[in-house]
Amino acid sequence: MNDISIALIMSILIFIASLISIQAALSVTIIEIAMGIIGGNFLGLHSTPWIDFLAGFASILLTFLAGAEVDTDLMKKKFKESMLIGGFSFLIPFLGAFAYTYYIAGWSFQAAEIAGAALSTTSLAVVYAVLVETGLTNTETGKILMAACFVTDLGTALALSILFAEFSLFTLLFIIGSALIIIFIPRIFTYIFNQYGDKVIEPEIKLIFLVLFLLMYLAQLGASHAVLPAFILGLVVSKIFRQNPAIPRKLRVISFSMLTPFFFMKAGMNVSLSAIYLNLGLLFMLFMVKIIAKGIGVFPLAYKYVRPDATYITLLMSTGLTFGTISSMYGLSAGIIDKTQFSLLVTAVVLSAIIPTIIAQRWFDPRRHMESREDA
Amino acid sequence: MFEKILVPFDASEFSLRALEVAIDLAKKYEAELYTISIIHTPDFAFLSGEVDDVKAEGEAFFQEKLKAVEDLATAHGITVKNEIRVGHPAETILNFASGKKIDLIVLGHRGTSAIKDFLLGSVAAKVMYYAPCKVLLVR
Repeated sequence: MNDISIALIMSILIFIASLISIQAALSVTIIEIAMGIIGGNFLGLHSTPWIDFLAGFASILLTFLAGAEVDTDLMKKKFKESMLIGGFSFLIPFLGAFAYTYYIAGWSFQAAEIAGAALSTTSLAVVYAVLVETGLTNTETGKILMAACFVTDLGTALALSILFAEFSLFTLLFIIGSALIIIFIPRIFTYIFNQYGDKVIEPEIKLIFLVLFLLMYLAQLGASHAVLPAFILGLVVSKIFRQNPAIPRKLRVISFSMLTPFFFMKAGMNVSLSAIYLNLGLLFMLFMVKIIAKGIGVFPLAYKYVRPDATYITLLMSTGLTFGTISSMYGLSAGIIDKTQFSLLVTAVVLSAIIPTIIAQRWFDPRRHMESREDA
Repeated sequence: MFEKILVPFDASEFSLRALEVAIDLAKKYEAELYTISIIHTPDFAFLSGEVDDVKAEGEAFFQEKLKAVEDLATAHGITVKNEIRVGHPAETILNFASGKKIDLIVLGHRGTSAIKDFLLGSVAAKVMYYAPCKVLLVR
């Protein structure tokens, strides 16, 4: 199949995915992954260098946008709770998934590290969607949950950038270069935005792309990954973005229409249904390891800080999606994990977005406590 | 017989028909008339901004459409109270009806999401099954 045929089929699937997403009010991500699975398993679709490139850039842009969604003031206000809950929400599942895949499933050391990173994540967006829907965004529970998610995301970004780096002089260049970019870009960005912003040519958007490509270049030079600096860069411009919401919105439009569909479709295309079928037991165990480890890491602390909603918080902190997929894709692209391991990890990640959310909302919705407290 | 009437309004042709019937009933029984418009943000989103965008788009859409609802009600000498909520449609309608002690829900038989009805089940069917009050389905 040539490039144009692949682009045409993918475009059709991407378009159908967007329609289903709107009609079913389901995130387009999951449907694009499903479309990728159909394309890869039944329509003969396969990744190409241009898809790899778009998907690679999409993952960095997504990470940057995730960083830009961090509410730094909220993190400061809830520093202790968020560091503890978010930190353990990352650490225990990371160690649990690593230990299970390395010692029991027999994966290589680095593949087990990828499993740890992929299954340690918490999906801030899944959590946020639930909080908005239940009207809990501004409650104590909601604020702690959001702040803790930021910390967990940071843990995953940190793990991906550090664990797989091959240290050399160029790594130092990558670190110094990233630090300089993170320190100076907010000022440069503000200057460019004030001088040239809000024009149809969109120089501020192009500047963001330039900086992200620069981070990717430096990361490649330093044999590392640009996830951590991209996330921190997003974090340092988050205030500017909140003051100018049109900028992240434009980035999301570009990202949703042209970049992320290829990232999630590529993820789906690399999922082998036969590999999942042959390893259903392992898939179940990977999912359970994540849920149990999140329970061990989060529940005791959630019980200490927000007792009535501890189970709810634990379940929502068990959700994963974007960072889990990014981690798995990184492992596959770098040749650290094979297609079977990738298929299992991505499926476990998607299941972790769906199942804990449904259980949390169905049986542990905090509004019930509130109603019963009000009734009393 | 009816003191509080609720119309779930999604700006579809079917919900407009239900609204016309509800206005007629509200006049007849001198009942308070409520509409509820629900923004269903995407489940399992991958960026918080995705949720914010859908919410903002939904609010702008309904604020525009609800002007026509107010005009229609005013033309019939009725005051209507419009609510825009975020959530799952059936659950949000049922919670609102319970909270406001609504005694009649007037529903259009199909909203804007035919595929969603097929995939997830009809909102109308869920409301009819679980409603804490009488339900009138308008075809």
